[in-house]
Amino acid sequence: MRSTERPDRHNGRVRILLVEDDAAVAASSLDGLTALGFTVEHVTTGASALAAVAAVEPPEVVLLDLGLPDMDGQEVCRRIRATADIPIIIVSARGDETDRVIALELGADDYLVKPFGMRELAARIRAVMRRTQAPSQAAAPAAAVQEIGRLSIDRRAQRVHLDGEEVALTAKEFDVLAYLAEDPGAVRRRTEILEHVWEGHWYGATKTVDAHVAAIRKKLGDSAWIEAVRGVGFRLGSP
Amino acid sequence: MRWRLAAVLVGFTALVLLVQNIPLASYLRTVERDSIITALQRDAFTLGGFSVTSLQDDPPLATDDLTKVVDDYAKANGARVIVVDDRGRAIATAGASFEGRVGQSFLNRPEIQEALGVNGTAHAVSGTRASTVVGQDLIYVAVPVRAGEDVIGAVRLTYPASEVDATVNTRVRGLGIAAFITLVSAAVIAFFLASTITRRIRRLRDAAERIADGDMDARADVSGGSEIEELAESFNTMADRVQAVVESQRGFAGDASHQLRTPLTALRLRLDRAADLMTDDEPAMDQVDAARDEIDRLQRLIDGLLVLARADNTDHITVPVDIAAVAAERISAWQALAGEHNVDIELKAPRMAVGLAIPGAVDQIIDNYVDNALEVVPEGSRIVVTVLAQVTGVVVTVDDMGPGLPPELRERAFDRFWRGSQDGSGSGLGLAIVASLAHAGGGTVWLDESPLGGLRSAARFRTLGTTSGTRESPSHKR
Repeated sequence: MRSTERPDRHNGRVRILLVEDDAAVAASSLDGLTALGFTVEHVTTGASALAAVAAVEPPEVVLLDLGLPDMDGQEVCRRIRATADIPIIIVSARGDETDRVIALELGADDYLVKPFGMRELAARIRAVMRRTQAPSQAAAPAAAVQEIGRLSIDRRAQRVHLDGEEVALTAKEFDVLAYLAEDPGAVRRRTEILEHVWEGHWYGATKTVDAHVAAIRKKLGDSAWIEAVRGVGFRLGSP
Repeated sequence: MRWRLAAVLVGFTALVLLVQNIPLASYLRTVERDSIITALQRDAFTLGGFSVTSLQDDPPLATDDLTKVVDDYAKANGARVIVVDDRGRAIATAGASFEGRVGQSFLNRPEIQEALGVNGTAHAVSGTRASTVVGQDLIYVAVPVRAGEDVIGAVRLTYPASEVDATVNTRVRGLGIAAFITLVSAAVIAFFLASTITRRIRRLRDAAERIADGDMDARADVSGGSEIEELAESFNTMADRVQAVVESQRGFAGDASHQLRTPLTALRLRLDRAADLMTDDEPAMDQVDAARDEIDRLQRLIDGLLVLARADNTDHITVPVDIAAVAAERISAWQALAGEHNVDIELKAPRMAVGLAIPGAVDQIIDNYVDNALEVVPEGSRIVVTVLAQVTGVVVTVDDMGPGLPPELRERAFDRFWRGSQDGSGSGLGLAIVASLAHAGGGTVWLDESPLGGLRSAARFRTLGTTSGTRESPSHKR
């Protein structure tokens, strides 16, 4: 389950600017991100964040907390976007739709609601970097199709094929499967799946994730495709 | 209230009119009768004057002149006339049924005896008496005819009392019409007066209702200056205070939840890192995993509190939802998981059942109910979800074959932090959220014994025709 948390050569020398005034969150993020191979610069105020972005060697990704002591995080976001094309990931304790929409409208590339896990954070960083670097790397349509044994997942078309036969999944079922397939074999906690797929919009039943996993298993015809790890969560298996 | 105020005003007016008009009518009757009698008496004396010559003949005999005068008078006034000599013998008669009774004796009539002074002094009399001859009440006037000191005869005029009554009644009717017009005018004025008063009260009530519906910015109109406006002002002051309290409380729940998220983030990142530094066979790994489970629970609790704070407070917009369709959709989502536990989920629903709910509420309510049911039902049993369109609203029930819940716990199950199981799982907010979501849309929730042997979890949603389950309809008792 910790396969993704080894120092990753893709992360090497990716410079991250962490704008976070809470010392505990900053220290633990710093620790985790450094362990994953990122190069992290930490500032605690909006002013120093703007200064860091304007530096000779600007960061490649900005992790921005909205609650800053000197200025409003949204204002920082707007000003960074006004001068630079650096991907910005907002990190906030407020997860309401309006908060997200405002941040995204102001130029943020992603929005992460606290509390988050290290894996989620690393995945989001990699995702925004992929997106911003995609034009130069000329993302071929084929690259979006992932093959896992007899299963192929087409993220662009949101389609899943098993042995060449299309499997009709609902949007949420697809999202759950695609999320598990991001790192086959890694265990995803229920909370992580809920956060990633439902983005905090859902406070339904405890077993919402289980219900969707069960539906996917049924449609794939083999429960071994998604294994339940007792007390933890789910991972993609290979029957 | 408007009607009641108007009724009081109209009732009072009616009372005044009655008190005034009943004595007035009886007074009118007396005056009218007196004036008729006076007129009759005057006429009788006049006729008596005409009769003197005839009565002085021996034997007394009506002259042609007298007969003509008497006839003319009777015709013109509808009265009956008798002229008698000193012995009570008629010398001239006129008027209905009195023709040709000249020569007959009328001495047995009491008023004639009086006028002739049979038992004393002759004098004029008048009054009313029943007449067996004409079969109705008569007004009579009898006066003596004198020549010098001697009474030489009498003139009697009778008049049907019904004619007097008719005249009196016409007058009284006029009085009645006037009273009626007064009453109608009073009613119209009362209605408008009451309307202006109640309109202001109604506006005050509307403001109160809007606040009750969650629109904390609603205030009453205070223009004017009457007692009602003073009440409106007091109401607004109260609303200001309530709003301040509600907002600070709402802010607190939200702020607390948000503030808790930051240390939770640090905690979670630390544990992630700790797990990262361990090998899989590290004995402490179990502890770390258990700690992460607790963090998940804590997070769900915080999220749940936020959802509750939001469901309790925000301005809710209800939308029509096809509850049958939502139920079908949710059940198909749960079918696979139920199948893994060898549990069958059945749906009994009409093709369509539209109710009012806040968006997403029906889904979450059904999910929570089915989830709870799946938690307790034995393998191989079934869960029945029923959607019923009733007059009172659309009712959704989820029946299971689990152990059920004793009646005293059913009500408490919707309380915050109430937990059915003591195994430490769950946030205790699921059913509280269900209740909040239902109430926010004007619906109700309850638990009951299920015919399947377990628990029945139910929710009723309003339909367009029904009124809110939590409040009385505002359309009564204006």
